Amino acid sequence: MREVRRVLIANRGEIALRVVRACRLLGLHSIGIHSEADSGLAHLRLVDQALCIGPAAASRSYLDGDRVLRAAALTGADAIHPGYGFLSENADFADAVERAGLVLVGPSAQVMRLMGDKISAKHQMRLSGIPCLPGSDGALPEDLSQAQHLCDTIGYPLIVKAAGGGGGRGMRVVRQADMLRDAIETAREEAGRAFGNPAVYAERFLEHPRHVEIQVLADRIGNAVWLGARDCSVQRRHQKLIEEAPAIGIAPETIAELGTACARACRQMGYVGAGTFEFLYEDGTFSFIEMNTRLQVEHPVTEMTTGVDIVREQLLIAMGRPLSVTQDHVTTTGHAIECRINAEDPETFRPAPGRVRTWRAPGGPGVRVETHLYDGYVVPPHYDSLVAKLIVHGADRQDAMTRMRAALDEMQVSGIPTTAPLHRRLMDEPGFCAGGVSVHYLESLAREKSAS
Amino acid sequence: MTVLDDLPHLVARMRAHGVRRLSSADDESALTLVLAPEVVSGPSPAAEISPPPSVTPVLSPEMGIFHPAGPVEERPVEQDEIVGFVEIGAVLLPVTAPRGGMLGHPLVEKGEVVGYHLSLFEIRHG
Repeated sequence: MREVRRVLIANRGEIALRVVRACRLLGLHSIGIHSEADSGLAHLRLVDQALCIGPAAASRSYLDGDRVLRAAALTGADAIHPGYGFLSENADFADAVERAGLVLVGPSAQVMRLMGDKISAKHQMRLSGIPCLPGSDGALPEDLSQAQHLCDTIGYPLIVKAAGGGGGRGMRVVRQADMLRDAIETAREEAGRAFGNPAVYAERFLEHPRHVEIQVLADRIGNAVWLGARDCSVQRRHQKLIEEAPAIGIAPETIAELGTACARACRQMGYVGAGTFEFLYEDGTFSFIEMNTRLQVEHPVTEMTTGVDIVREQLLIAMGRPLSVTQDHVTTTGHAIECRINAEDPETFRPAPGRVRTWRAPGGPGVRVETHLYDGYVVPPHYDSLVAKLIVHGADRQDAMTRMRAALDEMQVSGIPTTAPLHRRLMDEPGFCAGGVSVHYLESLAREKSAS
Repeated sequence: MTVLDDLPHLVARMRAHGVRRLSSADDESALTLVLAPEVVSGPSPAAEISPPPSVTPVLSPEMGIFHPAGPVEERPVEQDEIVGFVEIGAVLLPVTAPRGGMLGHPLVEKGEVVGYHLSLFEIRHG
């Protein structure tokens, strides 16, 4: 395997900054690539080498695998860290990286394909003893009558989902049998357009589940550990807003059993790198949704509760080193909460790019801020609206919420609207304060507000 | 209601958020808006006294390895004249003068890795 000394960071924003910091910890030469709209990104001041790879459009810069690989060749990179989003779960890109003789900081293309397809992923999970929702074992048959028969045996309500996608696209909830045909046809059409794969499958729909996920790390020599659970149920339109660790109200033994199964699944499929198994949790039962074969936005809450530097571990794994921790040494302490600060209208969630007049980060014990913001920075309109992650760690959930309230009160950003006021309100909202809300919590809160 | 009815609103939002270019397309039509820099009303005292010398950058058309063409010295050039190349694998992309004028020294060394739209030369004119 190629020796890794020079790492190209194929991403932008806060996560690019996070990866540069990890590279510097390990004495690795860092290479930052950026689009023409992103020459002012904060991490470009920290990298050893920076290169503009294309115009603002992501399709011609961060999503253009050929350009990223050309940048890697021009700068002599040994490895590529894809961060999250963009090319991070693109199996064709992972193949191309390998063909170029480079190391991808992440799993193999084969594993990405296996877990990227929801049908094969579910099959693999069943083999590893991971609990799954009852549903079609494969794609629904083309013939709608056969599909109807199959769905009738699963039972209603059910959800029709795109095999090759996520994020809510190609997804339809079917509450009764006579709604099924329309749902399948529209989901197929949407999935084909969004993911280039019209295959859809069906599984039971849970009415009020929580979103609970398990963070894993696996090295190239067959070691795999799980690093506790996160609860990411506060979402809007399938996008997470608040994440916390651990998931309250679930017995540690139950989580441990699930985590152990996830680590076992990693070893069985030959998984390498950081990854996350996502589950729905309702009535004491976990059901696998999907695996994210990459670093996740919310990884810091796991870092805060376990003390494991996940990005540093990713790089060490890419360098061929064994994991720094064994399962026996993984313990979780206290409670961590992360609020995603997006440049958006806090009421409508409409993206609101523009120039940041002032940015004042909060601080103090137990407060961590991951951001690329600075005074005068212009949030471009071309990319995701995430501009900061505010993370707190406390002795318990109450303590963490107290620290988050104080941090949100202290944080100042002017020039652009952000979701911070919404987070501040949520920190006092009885449902969130009680904990254990479902994935529909925020939507129902919005409905109540508009009704009153 | 057509997209043309929305133009004033779109332009106002582009101005508010510093967006200079916006493209939108569907199966039947395509729309691209490119905003000119905002004109500040009122006379510009500096412009009245002495117009500053105009300089036009010559940008790299792509990321790659830069090779100057012709003598590496200040010299007059015509518009569209090839003043260098950017090597992308086996391909040499020409770097052309966007307008005529006096071409300055290259701003980067021969053989240096250059990024997309990096300024490679300056042309003085006017």
